This record gives sequence, structure tokens and C-alpha cells, in this order.
Amino acid sequence: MHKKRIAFAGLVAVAAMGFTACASGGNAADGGKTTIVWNMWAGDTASEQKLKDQMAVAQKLVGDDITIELQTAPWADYFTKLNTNMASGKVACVTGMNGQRLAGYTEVFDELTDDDLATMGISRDAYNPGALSVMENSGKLYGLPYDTAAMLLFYNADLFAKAGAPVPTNDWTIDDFEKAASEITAKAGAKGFAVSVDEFQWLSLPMAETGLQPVDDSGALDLTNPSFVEAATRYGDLVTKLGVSDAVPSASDSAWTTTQFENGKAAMIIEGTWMASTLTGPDLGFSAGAVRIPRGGEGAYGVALGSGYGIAANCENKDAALKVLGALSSPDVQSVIAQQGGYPAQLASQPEFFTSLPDATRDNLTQAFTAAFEGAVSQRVTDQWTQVATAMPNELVSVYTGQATMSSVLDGLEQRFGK
Amino acid sequence: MTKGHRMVTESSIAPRRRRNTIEMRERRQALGFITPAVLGLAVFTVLPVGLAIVMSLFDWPIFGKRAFVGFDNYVTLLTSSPEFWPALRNSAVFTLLYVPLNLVVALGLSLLLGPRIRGRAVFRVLFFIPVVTPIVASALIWRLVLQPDGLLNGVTVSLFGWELPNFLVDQNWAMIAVVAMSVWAGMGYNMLVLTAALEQVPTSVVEAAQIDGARGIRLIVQVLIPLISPAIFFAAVMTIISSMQVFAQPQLLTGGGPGTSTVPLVMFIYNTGFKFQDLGLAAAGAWILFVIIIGITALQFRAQKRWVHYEH
Repeated sequence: MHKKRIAFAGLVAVAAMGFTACASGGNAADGGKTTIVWNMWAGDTASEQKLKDQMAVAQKLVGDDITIELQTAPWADYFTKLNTNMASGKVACVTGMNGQRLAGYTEVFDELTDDDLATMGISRDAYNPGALSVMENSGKLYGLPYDTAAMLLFYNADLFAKAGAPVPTNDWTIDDFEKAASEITAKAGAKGFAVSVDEFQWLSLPMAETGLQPVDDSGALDLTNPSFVEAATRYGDLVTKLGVSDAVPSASDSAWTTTQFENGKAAMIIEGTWMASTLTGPDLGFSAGAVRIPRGGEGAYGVALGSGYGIAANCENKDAALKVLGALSSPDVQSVIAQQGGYPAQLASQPEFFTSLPDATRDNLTQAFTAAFEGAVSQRVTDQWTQVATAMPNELVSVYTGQATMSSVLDGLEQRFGK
Repeated sequence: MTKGHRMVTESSIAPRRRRNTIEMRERRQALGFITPAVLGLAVFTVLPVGLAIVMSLFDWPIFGKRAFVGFDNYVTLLTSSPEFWPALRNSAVFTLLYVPLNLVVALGLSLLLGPRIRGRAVFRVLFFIPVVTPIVASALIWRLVLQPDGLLNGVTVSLFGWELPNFLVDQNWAMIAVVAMSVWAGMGYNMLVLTAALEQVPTSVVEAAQIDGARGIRLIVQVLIPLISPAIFFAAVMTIISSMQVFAQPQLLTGGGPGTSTVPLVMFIYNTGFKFQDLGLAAAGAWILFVIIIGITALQFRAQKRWVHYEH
């Protein structure tokens, strides 16, 4: 009996050791020094280096008593990792969050109060009116945006020249866009456009045409609005009827669209402003530019997107986390972001983005950014948006191959996730 | 009782005691050796499995309050989840296509690479390479081969002018593409198992069958297959279990599309738990999968009495 008791006690002790090891949080204090973990997405070494450069500046601002520790995961895995961290109660004190995903993660973050902003030394006036809304939900602020983004139409000027077509302008209409795409497809030995399966990369054109978002003013999913369905069908027709784009070869190949552009196989794509440096850079091997999303019948329409950082609700050292968040959101780090090709969230740092652009693309991108953000409205999402965005690529590939209609796909998504 | 008699009795008891002492010591040593493994199994397998049962009875969001809901998660999955039955159907279709193909290809390869083939060890290594190649690398290569501007379509267009279907986004072809890639990636393992079994077949038995007139297909079907039936049974059981758990190939090749046509049960569980944050529903799905696998395996063990021949 005695032996059994000892064996049981041993088992409990070993199990307890295991659980204790699992339960260590994302921050630790050691000899008066605190480590604050900063979790953010980065898909490659270059992206991670950019974050490290930002961290180096933030580290100087917070001083030696706090050590910032960067943890990254690629975008495609970031939210899975975050979910796993949430399940084990180990969300990093400073956690990156995308505005479109915030609705499903509000419980993860502490609300940022005006006192918190004061502690961080951050003023609401530092941002454009409405710019903080990308990190807001139900009127509560859950983080500070580090960038502001909108969607742009990127174009390969060499293919336009080859087809003898005039390059896009910021006043282009969707009719102009379709006409040019057809001309290039016919004359330049490349497709005029590359469609996408990613949410805002494909939604932008139907949104621009109708002035509608897939989520209505009340916050409900509105994919089956007849005008929106018609505009979305026109987008799918770029593959099935006009033939100005190839079909996306696999729902799991989300990089296909940019690869088509970078390889010179497609003359135009729609991507976010965060890709501006890459998609107009000197490494492409051709001359590239960007303009705002073409106008529809309702006039120019664009949506402001963005990402930011929040403080985890389970953070044990909120004061230190506030210091780190304040440093990461400071003008100094915003300046680094601008120099790295990101469009900073704070107004004062935005001109620096344009001055740091290469001479060859500065004027073009400055005009495109200015036009894209002019009158841009906040993006709206539902609590189920992650599910919608996850299901979209699988459904859209059927539209591009002509095996399903855009109408049936949007109706199906509405049925599944609209309740 | 004489003195001599007592001595004989004591001397026969002493070795027995010694034997018992040695046995006790060996038992303790064995217990010592096995304890770390048992503890590992308890902490990392039994405990999570037990927790998964508990989890499946709760509304268990990834973050926030949990509530006991009894069997509601199971009822939801079986009656009102729009994705559960298609996922189960996809797993069943995959298994029905993949397992027979895998076994036929593996058996064919192991017969082809018989003792008369020179350098057969090299061929075995070549066919085994896909098994040890990371599935991500294999899937990416297959995606490049199968896509419209990929290798396969390029060859058929340039040689015959044939435009092949867009395999990975075609309702009729996507699952076949996933199965084909899976057979390529998994055939080497069963090939090795069946090759080992074939090499154990006594030459005298094969020669006797040949003298009796058994040749070609008849020799394979009536002599060799019955002789290696335990190995085929083992391969069938393991392959069915792994095919019911397929995840990586459809995730990487098709992303589960088009629509939900290549979403298997494990991808449904993964999405439900780690993308849509409903761990209770995901745990219930995992337990349904567990019951299905156990049920199929039990049926196979029952059915083996009719076709598996063991040498006694």
C-alpha cells in the first residue's frame, strides 16, 4: 500500500512538472528585468528582418529593464498559432492583429482606454479621423494600427506598351480596365489580368462597381445583394467570358496572383498597398506602376484596411506591455516602417513613406496612394468573417472554371455564414 | 525425518528462492525501464484523449467561458452541420479509392522487384524515397506538375495537342489528383512490407507449385498471395487507418476545394477547432472519427479469419 502511494505521488509530481512547464506565460520577470513577447506574422527572412529593425528602435525607447522578444509565424499559419496560444492561455503580451480578423479575437485583447493611450504617449490626433477604427470593435479600441492600407491596381507598363494600350490612370473606370485587359490579352502574349481568390483582392472590384461591401451597415453578411451579385459575376466573367485571366489553379495557391504578375504572365493585378514596394520594385525586370481601383457607375469607392498591435488580456505585466506597445507605435518606429516601404498609420510619418520611395516610382505611387485613400471608408466584417474568408477560395475556383455560378457561390456562403 | 532428508529438502528450496529473488529484481528493473514510456503515454496520450472526451461534451470556445452541453455537439454534427457529412463522405471516397490502389501498386512493385531483378535494392530505395520525403515538398511538386501550365499539360499539349482538365479545381478530378499523389507518396512503405513477406516465402513451395503447373497470375493469386496474406492484412489495416486520417495532401494540393469536394474529416476537425475556434465540436468530430476507425479495424480483424492464413 505504502509503495502504491509513493508511486502515485511520483506520477502526480511528474505530471505537475509537465503542466508547470506548459503553463509558463509569454512574459517573465528576472532580476527586475521583464521580457515582453511580441507576436507578429512574417513569411520570410526579409519580413522578419524588417520587424527586427523596428524592434531595435523600440528596444532603445523602452530601456534596458524591458526586453522585447519577437516571435513570428507566416501569415497563413499566424491565426492557427494564435488560436493554439489562446487555447493554452499563452497569448503574447503584444500581439499583432489584422483589422478584418479582429471581430473574432476581441476577447484576446484588453480594451485600450484613453489613460492607456496617455501612458503610451500616443495621441488619437496622430491618426487620420477613422484610422483607429481598423482596430475598433463595437466602439472599443483593442489595439493601435501600425499601418493603413487600401487596395491598388498594379500594372506592367511594358505589356501595355507592347499592346499599344494607354497605361492606367487614377481616373480609370471598370470599362476602361476591361477594354485594356482585352487588348493586352489579344496583342501582348500575356493575360490582361490575374484574378484572385483572396478576400479583398477579389472583392475590391465588385465593391468599387457597386459602392457596396459584402457586409451591410448593420453588420450583417450581405453577399446576395442583387447589385453586388451582378458586379461579382462580372468579375468572374473576366475568366469565363472575356478570357482576360487564367483560372486560379488551386484553392491552396493563394500566391498565384502575384506570381503571375511578377513573372510577366499577367499585366494587371489587384493587391494591397503593403505590396507597393515589391510590385513596383527594380527586381521585377519590367517597368511597373499602380493606380487606385477603377471606378464603377457609383463613382470612386475604396476601403481602408489595416493591421495593428494589441495587449493580450492575459498579460501579467500590462505596464511593461503598454511601454512596448507605445514604443512600437511611436513616431520613431513609424519612421522605420515608412522607410521599409510600409504606409505608416500616423499622419506625421506618412510623408516620409513617399520621400523614401525610389525616384522611378515616387510620383506614380504618391498619386496612387493619395487617390486610393481619398474618401476611403472603413471596412466592415462580421463575427463569422474568418469562416467566410476561409471558405471563399474553395468556392471561387469553381466559378473560374465555369463549374459554378458566382450567384450560387455567394448564396451558398450567405446560407452557411450569414446567420 | 532424518537429517539427510532435511538437507536435501533445504537444498531444493534454496535455488527456488534465488530464482524468485532474481525474477523480482528483473521485474523491478523492467518496471524501471518501462516507467518513462508509460508516463509519457499517460501524460501525452491518455490524458489528452481523456480531455478530448470531456471537451466533446462542452461548448468549448478557444477563449472564454465553457458550458456543459452533453451530447449536443454530436447531435449538431450528425444533424445540422452542413460540412460534416460531406467531409465524412470525402474521407470514405478517398479510402475506397486509395487503399485498393495503394495495395495493388505496392504488391505489383514488390513482385516486379523480385530476386531476379539486378540492382533491386536500388529500385527499392527509389520507390521508398517518396515515403521519407516531406509531404509538403511532394505536394508542391505535384501542384506544379498538375496545374494548367504545369509539366503534365505541357507535355500532352506539345506532343498530342491535348488540353488536360484543370485537375486541382475540377469537381471530377480534384479527388483523383489527391488520391494519385497519395498513392505515389505512400506506395513505398507497403512495398517494403510486402517485399519482406515475399522473401520469406519458401522457395520449395513456389517450386512445387510451378512443377504442378502454377504460372504467372495463377501462381500469384493462388500461391503467393495466400502465403503473404498476414502481411497484406497488416498493410490493409494500417493503410485504412492512415487514409481515414488523411489531411496534408488535400490541404496542400487543393485546399479542400473546389467547394468542399476534397475536405476530409481531419481537415474539417482542424478547421472547426483551430480556424473557427470551436474545440468542443472539433473534439466530437475527432471521437466520431475514432469510433469509425475502431469499428472498421474490428471488422477487418473479424473478416481476416476467412482469408488470412497463418502458419501454425
